[in-house]
Formats: sequence, structure tokens, C-alpha cells
Amino acid sequence: MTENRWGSMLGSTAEDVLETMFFTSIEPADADAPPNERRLAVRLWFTGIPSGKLTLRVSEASARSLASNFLAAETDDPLPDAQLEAVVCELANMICGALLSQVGGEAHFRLSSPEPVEPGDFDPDLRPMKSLNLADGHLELWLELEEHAA
Amino acid sequence: MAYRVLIVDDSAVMRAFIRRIMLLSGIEAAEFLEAGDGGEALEILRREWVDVVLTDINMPGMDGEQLVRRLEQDDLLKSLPVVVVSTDRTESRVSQMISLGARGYVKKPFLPETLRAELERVLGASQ
Amino acid sequence: MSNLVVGMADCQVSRSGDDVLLTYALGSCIAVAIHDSVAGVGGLLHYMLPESSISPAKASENPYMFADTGIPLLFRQAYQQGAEKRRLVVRVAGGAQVMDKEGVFNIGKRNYLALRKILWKAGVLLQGEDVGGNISRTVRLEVGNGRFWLRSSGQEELELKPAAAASKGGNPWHTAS
Repeated sequence: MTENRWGSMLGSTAEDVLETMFFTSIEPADADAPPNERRLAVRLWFTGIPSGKLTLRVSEASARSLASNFLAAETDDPLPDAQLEAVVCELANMICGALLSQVGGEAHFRLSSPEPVEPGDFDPDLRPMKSLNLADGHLELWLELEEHAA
Repeated sequence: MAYRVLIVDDSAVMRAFIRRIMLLSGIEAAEFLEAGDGGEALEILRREWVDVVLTDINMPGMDGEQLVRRLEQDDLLKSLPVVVVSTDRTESRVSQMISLGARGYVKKPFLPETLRAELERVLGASQ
Repeated sequence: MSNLVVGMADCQVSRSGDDVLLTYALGSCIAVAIHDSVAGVGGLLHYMLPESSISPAKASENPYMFADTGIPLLFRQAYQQGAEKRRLVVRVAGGAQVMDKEGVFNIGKRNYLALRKILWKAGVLLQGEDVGGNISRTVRLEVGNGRFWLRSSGQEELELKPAAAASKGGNPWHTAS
């Protein structure tokens, strides 16, 4: 499958998860994320066909909205950082699982538990496969595959 | 009838999400028990009476597939209704879990009403 | 039967068993119908936009225009007439993806997501929904018996019975489910 095809599936999967469980829509595309906004990042590994890793990075402001929506919290109730992280981890888990499900095949995939990573722990030359705008920030997804399927 | 529900998922926030849906559904739940993986779930089931189990598949430690297999092998636990709640929506996985004994399957991401309907169907059938 | 028409950015709540609340031409707008069969209270809201923050002045002039100001007000008015949250049957229709006069394309979806967020936070689940697509809908709620009827452009009228939402099993805008 081509990189383009992966990218488009990743985008539509992320959109489905964000809408269905986080009640959040994706805004029309615009410029790259400003470099100095605070962000959270998580990563998980998957095995199956294919194997690889998914990394998700999101603006802190967006993470707060997503968490507040998911947890049905009142907007003026500040959530602890641990909860923000837990929600972002679950978001990454659902996007990854739903994406791999669509690729299908008989082999069952396995997902590792998502873990936080340093928001700067990225190869600066590796652009995200998908970059999405949310109402109050940005969400970026890197999908790295071990096999390059045709 | 008030149900005792065991929710098995390695994500605490997902367990909270599911718990909230059940509370809002009008399905009378007397108590919620939670486990982070299949091993913890089995420990709980050895000590406590439970009416229904909701379980993820992908979890560290014992996964949902192993859990369902172990429940089926146990004379006391094999009649316990299990609903799978998982991101894996491949046909092969769904039919595998059903053939292993799961009574219901909800694919993530899901609307709250979808989980409610599946629970009502499974709990209604097991009356 | 007494027909009470709910216009755009409008709301009616009634405790009179003869009343029928109706609203027309739901394109990207959403109609929220609520009914408590014990208290005999029914309410219908027709809102147009998701968030009042874009125009607080407009929202104080007409809170029914926005989901975040209109929906809580609909519920409050129903409570004032004797309805109770746990007894309320909530059904929605509309949110079509139509190009509205502002040229904004996905306002229907945004209206729907705003509704879902508000209801989830308020602790209310839906008992029926008919949303999305690109059709215009007309709905009516019979206060006497709580029946909710829906007509889509060119189709026959059909009843949206409670708990009809779950059968679709997923996000109305994504067919893979």
C-alpha cells in the first residue's frame, strides 16, 4: 500500500475516532503548528502485518478539550496531567487499532500500551504522515512501518 | 435486577467511559469492578460474583482472547456473559471471539447508545 | 390537535396533551425533541449553530440559535413544567451536510457533534436519531403520547421509535462500522 493510501486512511480513521468518542471535528487545513505551543506526545508499537509504530503529538490545549469531552468533565474543572496523558494514550490506541483493522488480513495485530514520549523526541527531518487542525490546536501523527508493503 | 459488572481494559479512562455509559443507560448496576488485564480479571472472578464481563482484547499481560478461553474452560465461569469491546473490527477477530464464547461485540470507536443496546441484548438474553 | 410551529432558532415546551410540536426544513439545523410520558411534558428545539462564543450578543438575544445555549434551556423549561431528566426520551433529527447560505459546508456535522458533547456531559443518552446525509427533514412531536415523526424530502412520514439509534452502530458520517 502506498504512503498516500496509508496517509488518507490514517486521516479518515483519526477523524472517525475524534468525532465518535471525543465529539471533536477536524478543521480545514492550514499552516504548520507554531513551534512554541505546549504539546503532549505518545507512542505505541504494533505487530502483525504490517508492524511498526504510531506516534501522536497534540497541543496541550487540544488535549485538555479532548479529555474534558471524553471524561464528561465540566470545562472549568482543570484535569490533572496524568488524566490528560491517559486520554491521549487511549486516543492513539483507538486510532492505531481502527487503522490496522481496516488494513485487514487474517493475522491478528497486537498493540503495545501507548507510552508518553518527550514532545521533542522526534527526528526533525521526519514529517508527520498526517497533520490535523482541531478547534484549539493541532494533532500530528507519524506512522512508521517496518515492511514497505507494495 | 441490579447487576455486578466487571470491566477489563488496560486504560483507566476507557473503563471510566464505559462505566459512565452503563450508569446513564438505566441498566441497573449495583457495582462496578475493574481490571487492567485478563490475569487481574480472573483473580477478581475467583473471589467475587459477577453478572457480566466487558473486555478489551489488546492488553499487556493476559489479553482478552486468553481471558475468554480461560472462562470457557472453567465449569463455573463458562456461563458468564462476556461482551468484547475492542478496536479490532476485522471479521476474523469478531468471529473468533464469538466462537470462543463471547456473547457480544462492540467495536471502538462506538456511540454510547451502541454499547447500551449490545448490553441490553446480552443481558436480556441471559435472563 | 393543536399544532405549535417551532421556527428556526426557536423552542416550544408544552404540557397539553392536544399539542403537536413541529418544525420544518431542517437542513444543517438540528431539532431536539424531548418527552416525559409520566409528567406529560414535551419540548422541541430547532437550533442552527454549534457555539454561542462566536456571537455572545446574538446568544443573549436568542439563546435558541446555538446548541450550547439552546439545549440547556430546552431541558430547563421542561423541568419547570414537571419533567424529570431520568424520564426524558431524547431524539434528534437534522444536521444534514448542505451548503448553507454562508457557504459553510460541514455545519451539519458540527451541530451534531456539539449536541453529542452537551448531552454526554449532561448525562443524557439518545433514544433515536436521524441525522446527516444531504436531505431536508421535517419533524413533529405529539405531546400527548410522545410519538416522534419524521419526514425527509420526497419520502413518506415515518415514526422514530425510542432506541432506534443503536441499530446503525456508528458515526453517521462514516460508513465503515
